[in-house]
Amino acid sequence: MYSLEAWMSAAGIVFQWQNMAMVFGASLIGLIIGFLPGIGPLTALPLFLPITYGMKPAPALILLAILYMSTTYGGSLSAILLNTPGTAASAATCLDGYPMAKQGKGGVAIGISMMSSFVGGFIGLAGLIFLSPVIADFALKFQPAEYFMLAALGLVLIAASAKGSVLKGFIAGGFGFIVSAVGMDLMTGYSRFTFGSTYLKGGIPLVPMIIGLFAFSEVLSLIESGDRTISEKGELSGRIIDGLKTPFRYLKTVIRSSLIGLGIGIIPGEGAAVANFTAYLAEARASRRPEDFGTGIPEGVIAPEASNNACVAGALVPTLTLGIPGGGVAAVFMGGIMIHGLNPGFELFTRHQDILTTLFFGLVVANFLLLICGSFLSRYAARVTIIPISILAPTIVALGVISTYIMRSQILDVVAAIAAGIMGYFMKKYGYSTVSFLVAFILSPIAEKSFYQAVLLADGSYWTFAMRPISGSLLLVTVLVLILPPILKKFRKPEPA
Amino acid sequence: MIEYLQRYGFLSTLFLADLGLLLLSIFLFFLASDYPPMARKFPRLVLVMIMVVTLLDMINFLRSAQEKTSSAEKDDNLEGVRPRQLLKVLYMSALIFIFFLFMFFFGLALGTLFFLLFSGWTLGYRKLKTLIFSSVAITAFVYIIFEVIMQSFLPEGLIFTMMGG
Repeated sequence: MYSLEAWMSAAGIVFQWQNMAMVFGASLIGLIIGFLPGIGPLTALPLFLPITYGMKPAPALILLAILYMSTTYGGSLSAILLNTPGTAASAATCLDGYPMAKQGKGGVAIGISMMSSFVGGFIGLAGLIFLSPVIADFALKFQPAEYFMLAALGLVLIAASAKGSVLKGFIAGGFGFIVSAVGMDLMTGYSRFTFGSTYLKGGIPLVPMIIGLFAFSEVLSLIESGDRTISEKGELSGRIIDGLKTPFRYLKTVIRSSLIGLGIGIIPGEGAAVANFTAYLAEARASRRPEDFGTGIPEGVIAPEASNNACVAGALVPTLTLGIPGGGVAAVFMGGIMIHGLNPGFELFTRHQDILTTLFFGLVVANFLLLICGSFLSRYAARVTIIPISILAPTIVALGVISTYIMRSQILDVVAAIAAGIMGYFMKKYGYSTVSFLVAFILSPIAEKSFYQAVLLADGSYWTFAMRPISGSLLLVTVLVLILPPILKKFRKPEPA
Repeated sequence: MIEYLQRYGFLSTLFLADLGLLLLSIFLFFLASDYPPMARKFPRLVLVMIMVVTLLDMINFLRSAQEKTSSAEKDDNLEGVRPRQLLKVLYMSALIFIFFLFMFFFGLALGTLFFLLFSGWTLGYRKLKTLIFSSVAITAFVYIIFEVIMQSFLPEGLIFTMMGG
């Protein structure tokens, strides 16, 4: 498929000192930007797109792809240390990463996250390089009914695994759908739940919602708790190197989660936000100790981290082979391909194979560099957990407000983030899962659009969801996820006291 | 009467939270009735699901409150919010607004610096040297990332605009 000569030539280009410096710089900048709450690849890539205008196509694409990978990874650092995912792609990492940081194992959690991301990234890249044409064919079979069922399965999985009451998980998810429906309806153009507000007509944007639900609500909880530092012990224990070794004891988890991430990444429109939760939940279900998930265990960090990085490579499969972006960031990446006069798809794989090989080689090198940069940077990043809360909380506020504001320069976005923060605080207090809410908020547009399209395509018949092979299988899995746990619970032997 | 309601969990804030959400979903359900069919079908379907699940949760809560089962004890572990906590939450929310005002009046760099000093002090940090050093360091980091590297469009500061104009 790709000749040895092509790989050698790619290595020659990537190892030029200018390109190596660029790869190193982009990895470092991406890690730092990703660490900022709410600022992920979707913010970073468009900002760096103009810089690539004057570059040759291969280095330009490598720069964009590395920023995509490194910002995704940077988001995991803040998820572990601040309970604030840089983006939704790292939201599941909070569930076990943050409890580990609170136990004073921030360094170990970061090490685990880095190595899992590294291995996940490699498995994703292997999928991208060797399986892309084959897997892309399967993604083409996804029609609206399948997209809807995938969204429904995602929500059911998340609500079912919500801490505490499953019913409250569903309530939170339901309201996530409703809040996402605020604004102009995509199908009819009709304004829904806007109460006459011009701002609400445009819908509630994702960034203020993420920053509010996770960053601001966490600040409110921190202030209210009266603790002096995030780490309950007030010190860091556990070395990053111990964390780097840990994923090798859970190879099954790493491989399973990476494959989930790769598979989900390939499906256009889904992406790392779904992948990290799906991998987390799959791991919790496969585990012999599912009740320990959420308390700060290594598997809870490995699964989302391996999957979200594998997903990044997976999202590039339909982008490069079919010209269908795997998600918002992949869409920006595709813009980067096109401004250099290249057309994704068959032409890219035949006429510009040299560029493609250089891109793949650059990504493999970048994956190594991310591990090295991450190890270096994380030593300092982990110290965030022992900064006094009276300094840390205002810092998170400052970063959150600025990150929210720069998206659209709208004051009301900041107000929305504050409102989401207060809402998130109360949700936590009353046992409603903020994670279920966010996942439903993200999935809602895909779910609603696919729902209408599927029904329209089936001439108004709702049976389409059950009768199509892939959609029917997803429906079956959704129903099983709903009914199996209570049945199994009944038949499970009571544990000895 | 009130004692009866209290004993059976009707006045618990957890029950009242569910009740509030149930009423909100009913209100939104009727609000959506004016929308065109294509715009209302999906949200109303979701709202019906919320109503059913909220009712189930309320029944579940009342049953466990009466039976005093382990699940009731588990639910009791949810803290709810006390008035003193609420004051702290309101203060912090106000601080977020204050930062925004600072940024508008003094621009990104000075606004961040003043805010970090002000909020650090009012939140009880008393080591002045450390506070000044950390505020300056964080401000420099914020400035480099947002102004220099990302070249974001941020308020220049009303005070500087007035002085310049």
